[in-house]
Amino acid sequence: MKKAVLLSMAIALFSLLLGCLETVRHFERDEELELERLNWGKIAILPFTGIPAFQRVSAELFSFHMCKQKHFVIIEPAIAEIELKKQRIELSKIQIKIEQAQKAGQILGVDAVIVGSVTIKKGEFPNLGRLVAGVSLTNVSTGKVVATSICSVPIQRVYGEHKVLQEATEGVANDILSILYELAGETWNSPQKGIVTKQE
Amino acid sequence: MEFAPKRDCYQTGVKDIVMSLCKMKIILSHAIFAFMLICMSACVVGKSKHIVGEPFNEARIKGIQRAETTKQEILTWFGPPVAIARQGEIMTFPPPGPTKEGYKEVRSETFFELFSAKHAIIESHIIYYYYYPEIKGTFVESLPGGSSKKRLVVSKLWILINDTTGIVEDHLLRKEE
Repeated sequence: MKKAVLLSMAIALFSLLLGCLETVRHFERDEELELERLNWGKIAILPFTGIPAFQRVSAELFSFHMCKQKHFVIIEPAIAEIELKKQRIELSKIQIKIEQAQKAGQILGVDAVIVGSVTIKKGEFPNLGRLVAGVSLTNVSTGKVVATSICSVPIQRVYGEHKVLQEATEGVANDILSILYELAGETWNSPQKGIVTKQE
Repeated sequence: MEFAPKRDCYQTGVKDIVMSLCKMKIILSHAIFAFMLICMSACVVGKSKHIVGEPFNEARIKGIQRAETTKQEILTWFGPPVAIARQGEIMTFPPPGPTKEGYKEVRSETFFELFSAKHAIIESHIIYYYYYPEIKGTFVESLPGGSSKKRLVVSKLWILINDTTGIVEDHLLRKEE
């Protein structure tokens, strides 16, 4: 009897530990959206907000994944930033609101904008937290958020934060790519494996 | 007749003490041997030690071609850079080394100065910065302590890219202590 209790406790502890260590993706999309009605050609990725050390690198990585598709013209974050600066528009480095994103999209002359952020959620154990990357795709003409994706990856110092950043940005990029491919009438086969995806 | 059992009892007592002392000696020697084994198993002798990440692929670095290699290729080959420099900005990135605590702030001009003699730096220029820290020297590490003569050698790679074209314009590799 005692053995059974101990075994069940050990199993519960192990599953709790596994839960802390797994990558979690959360993807939401506007279900009422009729993708076939959208006639998008150009999409801009705005500079990412969040932790200064990761802002530029995460935006660059995300952009790298987005450029894998050839259906849409992607305006990269650095180019978007230069163009917006020319128009004397400085985007917040903490949080970009939907209205600001829509305005930036109008200035850049694109059909949709992608806003992203990278943050670290500190864990209860020392040196163990989660890196959370989040992106949202906004339709510039309506100002409505079409899809959002959040990917939370546990930080393991052995691999270094940049490896974790790579996984998180790839996770959110895959979700957005799935929407873009759907728009183009194709199916995106995500190369990422072993990831828990929560879809709503 | 009464003495015999007492003597037997005395002899048995001495025998027991001697036996237990022998057993203790054996246990103690086993414990010392086990401790030494543990120490030896945790003991590392080496000449070089990697800290984190993968070392630079030299063939890949040689493969970087001016005005040919793309930004996409760089990201595919080397993964995400530690930092990306753009003119007039202050970069924040983790410093190389074993502690890796906190972030270091560096003016982006420090990186652009490396290329400014050969290139006319424009607004769309960015620099991808990679590093690979390595502890070099002879070191002995063991459970009770360790001795070492070590130095931190950091291989640094800067890649100058024109972000408008997405093409690599130059690169620089240095080893710093």
